[in-house]
Amino acid sequence: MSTSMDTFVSEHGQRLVDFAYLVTRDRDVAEDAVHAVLARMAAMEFASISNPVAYARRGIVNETRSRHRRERKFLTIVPELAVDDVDKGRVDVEDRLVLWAAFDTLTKRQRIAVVLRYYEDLPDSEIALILGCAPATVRSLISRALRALRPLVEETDTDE
Amino acid sequence: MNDLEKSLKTELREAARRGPRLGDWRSALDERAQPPRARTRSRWSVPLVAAASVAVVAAGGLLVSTVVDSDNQTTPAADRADSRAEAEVSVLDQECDVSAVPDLSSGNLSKKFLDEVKQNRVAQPLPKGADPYSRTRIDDWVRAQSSDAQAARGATVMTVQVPYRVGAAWMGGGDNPLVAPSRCVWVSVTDAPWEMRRHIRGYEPKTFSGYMMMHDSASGEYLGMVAGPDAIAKFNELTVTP
Repeated sequence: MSTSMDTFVSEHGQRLVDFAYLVTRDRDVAEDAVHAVLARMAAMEFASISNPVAYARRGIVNETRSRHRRERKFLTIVPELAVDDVDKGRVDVEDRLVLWAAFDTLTKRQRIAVVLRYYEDLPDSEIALILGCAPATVRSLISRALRALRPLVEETDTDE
Repeated sequence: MNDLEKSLKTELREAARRGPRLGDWRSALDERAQPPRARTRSRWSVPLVAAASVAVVAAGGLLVSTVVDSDNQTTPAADRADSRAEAEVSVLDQECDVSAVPDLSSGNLSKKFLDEVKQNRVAQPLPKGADPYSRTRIDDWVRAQSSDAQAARGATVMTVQVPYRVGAAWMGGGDNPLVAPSRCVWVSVTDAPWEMRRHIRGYEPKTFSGYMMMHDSASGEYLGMVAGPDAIAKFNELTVTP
């Protein structure tokens, strides 16, 4: 294994898993997707990849897309709502539940765009590179996603 | 940045923090050369272990007794093709509601839900499911999870449809408040081998003689598993080992 690849994995590997997990919301699919992409990169000449992080993210998007098609019926229950402090959870766990339920209603591309913007803090141009679309499309995706999320989340606030 | 965007940012970071770790990605280099089924099974390891780790010793006894006691209720694999229609009904089925959803109003949610949260094993309510899973489809899926494909082909699989509260009790763990108690689930028991291969540090791979799985009837979503009586005690040890 080349040192460059090892360095890349140690610097960015976990972040890539986080990204895959947030997009797929499935621990196993995320882990497998990242492993598959890293294995593919390891089999290539690492120096020939001009932007390894973008390449990996793009690979993960493609990988999870095909895996989701195959495995959709068997998504597992994952503990993303877990909290360390039960008292803290008592206050906001229902709000969080609603937010994640609303997040699940987004399209795959909207979820990817939202994760890249609000988790990875990437600019539109880089998100566009990963999604293979124009920056204006990214803005549109995020705008539509927020528009879709807002009423669902606000509806709960009103109920309370 | 408005409140919604701030909430999103916070939630995404929190979820990522609790998400999977990178693990041994180099194993994927070897797995790339393996046939697809082997890779599919490896993906099951985490959910299987997660569910099995909450099982209790009593479920192990049930696993065995259910297989033995119900032999005359099951259809041997060799004859299944001829009796598929009959296999869609079992006298052991219990009345349940395939589209039941839990009441998540805060009054019902609080303590029970938080107990689940504390145990780190909850997510979102199950979808209603537009294409309910048939008994034979679940049978085939459960059989396919065996680590021995040849033995699994001839193995007995018994599947019954029961309310989730019953299935959860059979599995031996606590029930999940995000699944309605009356929701229909398939509980399948098979005597085919199942091998634990990875994902638990310090635990050597081991093959169990049988396993029991629970799936949501409407969506096919995996809900839990226990593997062999020996496994249960080991899983209990694991759950109390830091």
